[in-house]
Amino acid sequence: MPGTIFENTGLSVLVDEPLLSARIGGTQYSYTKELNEYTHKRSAFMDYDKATIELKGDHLNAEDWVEYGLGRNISVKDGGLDTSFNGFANNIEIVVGGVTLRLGPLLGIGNRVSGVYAIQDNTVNPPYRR
Amino acid sequence: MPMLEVLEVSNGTDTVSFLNEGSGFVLDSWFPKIAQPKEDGIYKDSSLADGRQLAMIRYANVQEEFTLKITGGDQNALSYNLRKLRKLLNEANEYWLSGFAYTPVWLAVKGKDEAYVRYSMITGWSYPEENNPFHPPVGGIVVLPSMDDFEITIERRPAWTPNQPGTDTAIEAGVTQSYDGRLLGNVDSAGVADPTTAAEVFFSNKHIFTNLTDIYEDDGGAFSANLLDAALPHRLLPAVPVVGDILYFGIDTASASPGPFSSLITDIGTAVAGVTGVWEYWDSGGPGWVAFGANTIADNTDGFSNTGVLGIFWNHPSTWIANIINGVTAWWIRFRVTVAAGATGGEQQNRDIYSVTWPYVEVQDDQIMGELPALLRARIRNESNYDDDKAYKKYIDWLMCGVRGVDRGENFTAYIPLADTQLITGQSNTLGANAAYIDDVEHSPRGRCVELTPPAGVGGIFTVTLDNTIANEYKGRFRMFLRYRLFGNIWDIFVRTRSFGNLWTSDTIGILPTQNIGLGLLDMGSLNLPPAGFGNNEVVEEIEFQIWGTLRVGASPLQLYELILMPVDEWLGQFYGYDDENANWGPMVYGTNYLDIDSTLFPKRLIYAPVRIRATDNLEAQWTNVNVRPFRTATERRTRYWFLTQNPEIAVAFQEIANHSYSENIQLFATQQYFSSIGKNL
Repeated sequence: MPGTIFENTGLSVLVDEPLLSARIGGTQYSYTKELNEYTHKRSAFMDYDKATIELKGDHLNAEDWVEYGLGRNISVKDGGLDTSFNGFANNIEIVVGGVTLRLGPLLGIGNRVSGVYAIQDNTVNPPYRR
Repeated sequence: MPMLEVLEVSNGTDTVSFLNEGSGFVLDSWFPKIAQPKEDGIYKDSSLADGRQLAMIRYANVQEEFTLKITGGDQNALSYNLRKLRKLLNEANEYWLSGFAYTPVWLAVKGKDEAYVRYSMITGWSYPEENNPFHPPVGGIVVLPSMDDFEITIERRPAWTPNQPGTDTAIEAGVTQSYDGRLLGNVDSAGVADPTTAAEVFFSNKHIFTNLTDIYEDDGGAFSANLLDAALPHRLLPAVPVVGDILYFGIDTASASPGPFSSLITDIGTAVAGVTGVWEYWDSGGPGWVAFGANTIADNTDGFSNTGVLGIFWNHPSTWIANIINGVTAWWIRFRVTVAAGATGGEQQNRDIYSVTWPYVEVQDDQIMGELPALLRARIRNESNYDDDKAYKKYIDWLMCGVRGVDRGENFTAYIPLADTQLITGQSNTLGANAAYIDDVEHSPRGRCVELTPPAGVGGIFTVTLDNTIANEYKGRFRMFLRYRLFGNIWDIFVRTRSFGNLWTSDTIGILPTQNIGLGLLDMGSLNLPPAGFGNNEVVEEIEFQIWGTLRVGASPLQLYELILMPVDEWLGQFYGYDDENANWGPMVYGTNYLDIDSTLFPKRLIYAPVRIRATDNLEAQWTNVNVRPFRTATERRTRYWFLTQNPEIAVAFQEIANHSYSENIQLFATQQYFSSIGKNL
């Protein structure tokens, strides 16, 4: 609902497919009225560091985020179209009534994993771990 | 009996009236409510300061409370009436909850002596009890209220509108330019400004302060008088054209600010018939007349053989120069008849032929009324790309629109020229180190630009100064762009802005070579002029923009054409299709489709940018919108809508070009918004 003709505040959250996705190029969502809470952190070390975005939406939107949300490119623009934050969806939490569903962190996925294990010989008594 | 003529819940097909028009509901009492600010408004309110100051305001939905009496001939009829109302109100809920419910439900109101019905969309409802469907009497000889004191709360959106939800009203727009003693653009046959709701309002991707000065008909060597001074309608070609007849269109080099031009807008009442011709320009090579190259001129009139308001659009040929025709030295183009069989001449009606030289459209202060900002829709047609032929390279896939009231500066332009010609009033330029003015007829909308040619590792500087006759009109917040052209190697560019004693430096942007394919846009970020907190009665003495360019290695020039300041503080929209890394383009807008920027027809969406087929209005694609808020504008205020467009370069993925010759037309529509009753003067 428009308030005044001059509005210098407001954020717009633009959501796009993950940058490595074959469907790159089309912004899927532009959230403005759904935005309930927003914080971001920028650091001298890495500029765009972290953002937390809380949206209110319908169940279809929630299911879409469950299926395809991790990794989505997130860009937050202010009223002058300056970029306030740019990153990707690393953690997603969906709350529907008393049910909470959490996905991620995406950065927690192992790329190359190695393990050290011991072999147990059960043919002897007592079992021998070598 | 309430002084109401209309009080109903409706979806346009089913209606339940609260005035007992067969519905059984009779209004007992209702005190219309006014939308209130959420959380009473956001205030700057510190314990350390006196008073408080309003910082932001958003309006909440309104809970309208109705007390009704419900009648019914019997219990079945009574139940049915209630069921109808509940079903309609549930549809109101479903509209917002479901992705596949498209019909809004609204509350409609009109007083007995009011002129207009007003509407507000329903967003929720409740009635906790039915008082009392089982209490006699029901039916009988005398029909008494079967439910007394039936209380229902209907939640509606904050504003009332005179349009049914999902509809809007066309508003008049237009642009005029006074040049060489004539008023050109959207004018009537008497040369008086004539805004229109028709698709006859054009804008271009440049702002040059020139326009047509001369149009001549060459009838076998006999020249007509200047057709721009002829009474309308006037001839286009002789009554019986023959091979060799010519129409000349030019801008006199002796006029106030001459230069090349890239369009003609006609209004053909009688079409030319039986004629084929060629469009030509005066080439420096011969010198002589040369036909425009393939796909460099888009003639939507087809040699003046189509009627209506249509345009001819071309790219400036690089070797185009002025010459003398009929004693007038001008930038000329001409249409020469090459085939004439059973030919008849045509007529220009209603207004003089003109060139689109401005990047905005204007709406007068009597067009949009209301108490709250009106919601808008714009229908934009790309007229400069012929049909859907990509060879013309004037399809667009990116558009930016900034809204600004004319009361903030009649002489404000978003496009500040970087040249030594056609400067804006109050502008002066300074060539700094390694900078020079050069001719560039092809790429510059005014034929001249600035070229930086420093050695590697050294900077070139160019300074634009706006004095106190114009600087005051540049107060506000802007998104700054540089239109440039680069031939090779890498440059670093930044812009330093000095205003009211404050210095602001943009980020340094590195530009990669653009393979000499056209004009690029460099986004320099947002800019406040001057520092915030000064009221409009403070006159700014001067604003200075200093453009620095440093060549990293090698030797290649950088050409600069305009400093573009798109206003962002009233409303700014950015819309685009996309191309991917394989240079596969998204939905572009050219001659067979159009772009809607829509905040009126689909109330569920704050803003929507569909691309539709012109012939059917069917949805072809959807552009992405980068917006904070709906497309809207202040009411009762003369306002300009500034545009900037780009198109994708076919050969290079993600490369966008912002050539000056793109041209579109626009129709605007509005839904006015009110807190309560509309009264007169809608």
